[in-house]
Amino acid sequence: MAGSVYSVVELIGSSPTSWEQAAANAVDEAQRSMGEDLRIAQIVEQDVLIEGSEVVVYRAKVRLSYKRAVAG
Amino acid sequence: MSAVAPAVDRAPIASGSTDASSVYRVVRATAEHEEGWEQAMAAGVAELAKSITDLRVARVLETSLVTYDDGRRGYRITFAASYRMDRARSLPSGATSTVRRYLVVASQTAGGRALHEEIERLVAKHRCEFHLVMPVQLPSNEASVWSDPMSGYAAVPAGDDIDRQTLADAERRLSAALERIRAAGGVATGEVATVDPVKAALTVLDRGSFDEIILSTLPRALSRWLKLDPATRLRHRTNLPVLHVEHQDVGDDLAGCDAR
Repeated sequence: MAGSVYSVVELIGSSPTSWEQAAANAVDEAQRSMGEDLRIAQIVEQDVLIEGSEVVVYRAKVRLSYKRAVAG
Repeated sequence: MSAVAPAVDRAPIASGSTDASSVYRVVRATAEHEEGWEQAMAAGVAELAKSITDLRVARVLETSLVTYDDGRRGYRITFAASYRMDRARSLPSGATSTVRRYLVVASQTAGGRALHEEIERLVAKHRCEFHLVMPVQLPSNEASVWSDPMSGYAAVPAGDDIDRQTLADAERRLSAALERIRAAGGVATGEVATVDPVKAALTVLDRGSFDEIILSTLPRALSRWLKLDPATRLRHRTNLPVLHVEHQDVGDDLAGCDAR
């Protein structure tokens, strides 16, 4: 009897405004392209891109998992 | 309100490339801001960028939230940023050249002729990068030191206005000095510091790497700093060569400086 199997995907979202927005962008894109019902996004890494002395982009790597349809 | 405390990780990260190698140092710092993590990160980056001009990416290591006794919150970010610690710089032509980095400590003498003559000499010899740190003493720190009850004089505690004026004057002198260095052909960054010259130099050294320190002072009789012999203290604590430029002829040399 097969148990549940989940796929795990990591996406990197970015935003000039905030990490919240960066994570939301990644989740929106995953929803749009994978069409899955994604509930929890785990933030696994955060960084920023810098130009001179200013932060120009906030980036968040999010880990998303969704249940695979398993036969049997 | 924000605060940044640097913790320097001295292990260099070496990365290979085609014909030349490059070596980067990773600096870890913790920044805190009362409004949010993004603001804390921006403050931390701005602080490092005072003397590091080639920052590209800063990676978040830890995120935390501090609550103080009075209920205030502090959003804290610990991050790692890397900058080039070797002395090779790429030129637009694609070739690389070696640069020497100098930490200049100067306050009233920042516009002094002897200092800028030395800088011009250095720029003529090789490619140079200068970071000018300008220690200033805020009047509000001085006021409490002198008051004479016998004569009826009391030091009026200097308010924020006088401090702001002192800092504004210092920023102006700093900009003028940096422009002169750039006009002479050197790459220049700088900052004003409200601590004593040795502490100011050590703070900058914590977040950057330099080949030599240039300490620029007034003649011994006039300089408040020299009673503390900062040149010797810096040589001891940094193992870097320290060049002491003592401005001899106050009138002539300091014609380029503002009278304080």
